[in-house]
Amino acid sequence: MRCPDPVQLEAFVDGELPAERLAEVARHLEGCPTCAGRVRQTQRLVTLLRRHQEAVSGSLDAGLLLAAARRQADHHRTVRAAWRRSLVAAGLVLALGAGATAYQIGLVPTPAGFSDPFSQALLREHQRFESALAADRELNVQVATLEQ
Amino acid sequence: VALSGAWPGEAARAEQDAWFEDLVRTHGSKVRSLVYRLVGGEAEDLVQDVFVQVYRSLPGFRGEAQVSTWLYRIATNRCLDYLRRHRRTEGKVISLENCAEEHSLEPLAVPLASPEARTVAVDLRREIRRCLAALPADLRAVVVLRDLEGLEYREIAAVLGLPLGTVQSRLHRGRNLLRDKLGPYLEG
Repeated sequence: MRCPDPVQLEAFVDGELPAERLAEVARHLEGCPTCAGRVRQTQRLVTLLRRHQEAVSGSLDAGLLLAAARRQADHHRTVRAAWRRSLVAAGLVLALGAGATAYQIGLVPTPAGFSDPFSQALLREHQRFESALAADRELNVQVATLEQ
Repeated sequence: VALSGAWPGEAARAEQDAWFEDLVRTHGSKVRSLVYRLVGGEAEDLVQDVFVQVYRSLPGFRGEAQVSTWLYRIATNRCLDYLRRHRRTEGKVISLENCAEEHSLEPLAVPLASPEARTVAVDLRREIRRCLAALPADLRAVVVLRDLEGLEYREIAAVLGLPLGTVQSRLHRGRNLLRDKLGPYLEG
């Protein structure tokens, strides 16, 4: 068997090889001092790291962490709501601004600009109605004068 | 609500809060150790950040992943983000060397025969800490998760969102760097 690559040798040390591959590598190690040396070095390194690792003393205060987490979550909710309100307000201002600008530069037609027959007829009807209303108001004024 | 039970999902807030507290009590120390091992002396605020992030992520937790894997994922990603944003602190050995004194890091109990042996062990621990701190963050994460936290390859892949092959190659590269630096301690 050819020498396994170094990654495979580490997987052997870590017990991460499938059973049949594990047996093959184990047989290989019996006859290959180079690979056996690599495996020994990895084992020593892992043992060294584990034996001399440090633990963090003291336990965490769950209540305190919960309070901090809730405070942060509430803060994020408030900020998000403020952003939403600001966005809606900005949208409204933009829409109004765009409408006013469009009206000013003539993108939105004025009544006189309606050129199709239906709009013209509607306009004439509206003018007739306005005249009738004015005449009616005039008549009312005359009647009121006579009554006095 | 016992943590052994499933995540209460969209239950009442009180139930979710109780589940969160149980989570902190059950896994808090492990998460705290992991954060210290990944970022060293500046970890205390980061531990709180991790649990704030956990609390915010609770509604998205569907219970498909193991709770510990999910927690490790949030903690590791938060630490890697932190290290990326504070790249200059990588290899900032001083803070890591001092972190035991500043942040109550304590060695695991190792029976030592004599005061001399204890001194050697303290020096060795300091050297190991220095070498781990000098590793690039992506390699350090894999080495810490495997060799200090004892996670399996597939668990590391799930925590870091990496293919198995990448986990193996990073572990190999990380261990190679450590082997070079800690060579004298590995001769037997």
